Order: sequence, then structure tokens, then C-alpha cells
Amino acid sequence: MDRFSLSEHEPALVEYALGELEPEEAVRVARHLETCAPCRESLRRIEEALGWLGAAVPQHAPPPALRSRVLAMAAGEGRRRWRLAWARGLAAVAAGLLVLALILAVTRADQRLDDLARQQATVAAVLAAADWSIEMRGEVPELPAVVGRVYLARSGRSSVVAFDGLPASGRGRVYQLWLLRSDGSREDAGVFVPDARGTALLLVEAGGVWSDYRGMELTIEPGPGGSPEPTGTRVAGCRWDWEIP
Amino acid sequence: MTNDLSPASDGEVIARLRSRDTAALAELYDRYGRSVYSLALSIVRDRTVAEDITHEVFLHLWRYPESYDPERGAFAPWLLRSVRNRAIDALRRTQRDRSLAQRVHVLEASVAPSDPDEMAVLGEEFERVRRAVAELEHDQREIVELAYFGGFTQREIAERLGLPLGTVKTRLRAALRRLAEVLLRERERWTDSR
Repeated sequence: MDRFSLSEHEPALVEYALGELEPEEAVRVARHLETCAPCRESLRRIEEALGWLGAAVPQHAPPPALRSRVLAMAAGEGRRRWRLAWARGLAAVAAGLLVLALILAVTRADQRLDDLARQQATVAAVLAAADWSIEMRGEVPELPAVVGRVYLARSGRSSVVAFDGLPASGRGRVYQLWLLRSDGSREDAGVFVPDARGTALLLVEAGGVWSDYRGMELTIEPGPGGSPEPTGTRVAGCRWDWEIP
Repeated sequence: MTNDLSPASDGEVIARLRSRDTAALAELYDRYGRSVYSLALSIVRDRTVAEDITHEVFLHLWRYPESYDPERGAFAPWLLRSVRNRAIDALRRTQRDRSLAQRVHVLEASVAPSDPDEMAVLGEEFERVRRAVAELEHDQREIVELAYFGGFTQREIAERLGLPLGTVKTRLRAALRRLAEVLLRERERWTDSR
């Protein structure tokens, strides 16, 4: 074995880096990467090689006006972000927040194949871009200590939440996921029912970037639509704390 | 010798970007704007879309400078990968049914002499990568172009080129390994010479 041969999982890592894996497989790879330093190093090399490939194309100068457009927009954004930072905590930025949870593991019969393929590509892209991950811990005796894992890019709005080992939610009841904002308020991230093995793979689209959130929680609510605010017991959750840049 | 290739100075500029210094963004644009735009244009083949992608990429960098983690490698390949991913997304949105008839030929098969200004800014790493790509075998380069710049999955490439999937995977991996090898070798040579 020479020093350039990457890890034994190289084929899967190439596909992971290209965003080609099926969501379940991509989650497996993401989990493996957390504990396997040689694979992380292999992935780093694969990503670097792929990145440099982008330099080997014919070069064209962008129009000069584009530079001004980028810099003007950034200068305007700088001021707005500053104001927002001051306003944070004073006002809940509730309006216009859209939170979608797509339940991929529970495939509905009418779900069109191309929708599924698109969602799979999105899950793979979110996982490939993720730079942070945390366990979702069970908080009641009926649940395992760890019921899933959250993957996200702190600067992004998308997250993949992979649940495993969830008991059935009970007749007429559903699991509902909530996003905890920095100001203490909650956003509804949607409802789901795990499959027979207790797994569910959710693609969660938050209203803001993840740096504005502090955690997630899981409750059991009346089905099929869930509740506007949590009414059931909190059965699992996670919290994080990072500095706002 | 303490002066480094571009990555070290990129790190300094990124640090200034994190402290909301717009001059740092201008510096990064001057350094990479051309590469970013060129890569986007090679993939989407539409000047307006390539401009939008370039705009988005730099704005994203301005908004979330922490999204680049130096622990995960050099800045330039990271930036170019994010450009590629955005461009492929744009391509997939606009062309749902693409055929390999629209062959992707984007990689430079020969090492054209680079613009001296560009060389001064980007350093020799770009030149080495171009040389390594030019040295790839034709059938490896074809797979790389389709997978990376065309956004086709390896399965799609296999089906449409009439090749076994295993062959496609092997060629892609061989090409990436070759590139990784060149990059590593060059880096060691530089480290040794310090």
C-alpha cells in the first residue's frame, strides 16, 4: 500500500464528496467519519483534489461591474447585520419564517419518483456541507439514551436529522420537532411518524441560519397535523451554544 | 524562507473578513473572482448565471466567513468546490433532461501559458494542477469532466457511455488519486526546500 492509497472506504468517500450517495448511505458515511480519522483524512484529500480541478478550466475575466456589485452589496449587508445583532432578543423575527420537514423515510405511495430523487440529492448535499453535528438524546425512560443525530452547516438553513430507535408514537399521535431560537421561542419543524424500525430521516429547513438557533426538541402531539405550540411531553432534545460571529 | 504559497496569506485575509473588513472581501475578489467566474461559466455556459453564482459565492463568504474552516484544507480548493456545487445545482434546475450529447469538455487539455498577473496572484499551485490535469489519460479526463463539471452520477455516465459501472468508478478514483498525488508531492517539495 503506497502512501497515496486512501482508506479502504475510498469508493464511498468519492461518492460522498460528489453528493451521489443515497441518503441512508450518506448518513452511514457521516457517522463513520465522526469516529474514523484515516477516512476524514482521505475525504480531505479527495475534496482538495476535486476542488483544485476547478482551477483547470479556461479562464475568462468577469465583467468589471460585477466587482462593484459584490462589494456594494457587502457594504450594505454589513450595516444591516449590525442592526440585526442589536435587535436580536428584542423582537422575534417570526414573520416569513418557513419551516418545512420532509419525511423521506416514510415514502408515500403517491410520492413522485423525481421528487424523491431531488430530496435525496438535497440530503446528500446538506450532509456534504455539514460542518457540525450533535446527538439528539432521549429524555424519557421509554426512549434510548441517544435517539438520533443532527447534521448541519452552521452558516446554512438546512439540516438533516436522522432518528433511530424511536418507539411508535401511538395511535392517533405523531412526533413533532421544534427548533429553539436564541430568544427562547420555538419554530415548528413539522411532524413525522417513524417507520417500523424506529427510523426517520428528516430534511429540516429553518427560517433563519443555524447560528440563530440554540437547539431542537421532540414532543408527541395529536395527529395528523400536530400542534401550533408544544402540548405534549418533551421526549428528546439537544442544545448547543456557539458564539454569534 | 518564511513566505508561503497562497494558503497562508489567504488565512490572513479570511481573518480580516471575519472582523467585517470589506477591504478583505475586495482582496479575495481580486484574487479569486476570475477563477470563480470562469469555473461557473465552464459549468453553466451562461454569462448571466455565472455572474449570479459569482455574486452569491462572494456574498456568502462575506455573510458567513466562518463557513470556511482552515482545519479542513486550503482555501482555494474549498472555494472552488462551493462554486462547483452551486453551478451544478443551477444546471440541474434548468436542464432536467440532459444527454451526454451535450458533452462536457471543459478541462484544458494543454498547459497554456498563464497570464503573468494571474500567476502572481494565485501562485504556482494553479499551474501545477493544470499540468496534472493535462497529464491525465483521455478516458480518465472524460469521466472527471462528466462527473465533476457535468454533474452526472457515475451510474448515469456508465449507462450512457456503455461502460461497466466499475470501470467508471475505477477511472474516476484513479484520476483523483493522481491529482492528490501531484498535490502532495509538490507540497512536500516546497516544505523540503524551506
